[in-house]
Amino acid sequence: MYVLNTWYVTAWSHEVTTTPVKRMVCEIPLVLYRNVSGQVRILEDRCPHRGYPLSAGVTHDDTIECGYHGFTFDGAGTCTRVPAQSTIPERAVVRSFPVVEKDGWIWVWTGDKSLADESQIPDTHYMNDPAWAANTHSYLFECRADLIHDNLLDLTHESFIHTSTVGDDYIYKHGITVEVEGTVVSADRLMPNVAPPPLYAKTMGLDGLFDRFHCTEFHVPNYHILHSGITGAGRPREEGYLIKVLNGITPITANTSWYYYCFARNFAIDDVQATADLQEGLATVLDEDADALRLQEIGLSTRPSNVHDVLIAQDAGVAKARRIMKQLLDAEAQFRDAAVTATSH
Amino acid sequence: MSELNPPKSFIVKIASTGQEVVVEESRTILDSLERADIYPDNSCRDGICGTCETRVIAGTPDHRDMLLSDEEQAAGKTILLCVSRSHSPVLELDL
Ligand code: FES
Ligand code: FES
Ligand SMILES: [Fe+2]
Repeated sequence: MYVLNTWYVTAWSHEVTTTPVKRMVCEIPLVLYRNVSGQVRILEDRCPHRGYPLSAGVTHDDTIECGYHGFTFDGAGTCTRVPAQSTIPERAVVRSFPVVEKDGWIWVWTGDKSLADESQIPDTHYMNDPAWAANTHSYLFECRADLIHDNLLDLTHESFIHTSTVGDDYIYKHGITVEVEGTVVSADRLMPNVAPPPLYAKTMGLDGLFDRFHCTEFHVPNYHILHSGITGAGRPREEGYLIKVLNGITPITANTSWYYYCFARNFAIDDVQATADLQEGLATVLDEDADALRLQEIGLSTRPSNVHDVLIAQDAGVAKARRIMKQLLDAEAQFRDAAVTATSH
Repeated sequence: MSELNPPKSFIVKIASTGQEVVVEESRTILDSLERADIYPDNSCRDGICGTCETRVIAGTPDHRDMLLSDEEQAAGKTILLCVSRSHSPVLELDL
């Protein structure tokens, strides 16, 4: 089950051109293309004629032509041409999806079109702001999206999985403060008077002890922004070396997910070497997470359904977020059931 | 979490059977139920995960968990058996 009434990151802007690309979001096959005026179009990737994937076809202006028998559809999914006859069958329609392109990400709305509200897309300007330098990655994770959400809300794993980059034993020794506002859960950890993480100490040009902090802000069900950094002992966070990590988490299937990642920093922004070093270091961090979550997915695959996670105090954010996720899923299921009942009368 | 009053004993009534289980001041609802051979789902036993969440049919819960929101605690429709207690002398649960 997936929350469908939401926006999911489905591609980087640079990946979508007039050549169709294929994606899958929440088990829905999608084709993405850019029309001649530069607008991104997203349709269901299945020709109504006989099921051929439209992503194997070609685009002309605003339309996409099926590679099998040439049925052609516009960006709204309306069939505009059936080469073998002059009339267009009424049912030759493809589902189209609302799209928003912002700061380098392309978001798709997978749910009820009438509910698509662009203002729900989070603030991602850090990817596209000269005051910040950005490193980006994207990864296929062989696990359910829930494991990524848990991972990001529980950064004690850094002490064990990311020992060479951002980890240190002091992380799990500090507790978290959890807050909930609407469907946003935040888990904040302040680590006073500690050494900066190895991955950034060099870039920051620092040595000595500082206050380190990280706060995961999970916009349930699909997006996290981490506010992290270091600042002088006892000094306000805004004064410090700040990092914003943007994580667009998009379910593909029940046990695969896309992870769209941007690490933006407000220090050494013109330092090309620092950017190159971070690109490599952050890939290591993501590899470590991808590997751990792939293993966790394997571990869970043989766990009986009546056995539950044994959560600890550091998992308070995880528990809160799971609860909100479940509420969203239940609300959508209820709404669907109500719609089914209404149409069957 | 609500302010911690010193724990008092109370009675939990099992809606499906009418059975009454005494919860002594030194024990949790969950422990008391298990001693009476009733085994609700549970996991963390620390008011974090929500596995033991149970519907309240009558009575006023004294919430001591970290999971329910303030609104949910005030509504008192459910309770986490592993940590929370009762303000009313009897708490009837959907078990
Ligand atoms: S399957 Fe697409 S045109 Fe025939
Ligand atoms: S068992 Fe986890 S909250 Fe009660
Ligand atoms: Fe990690």
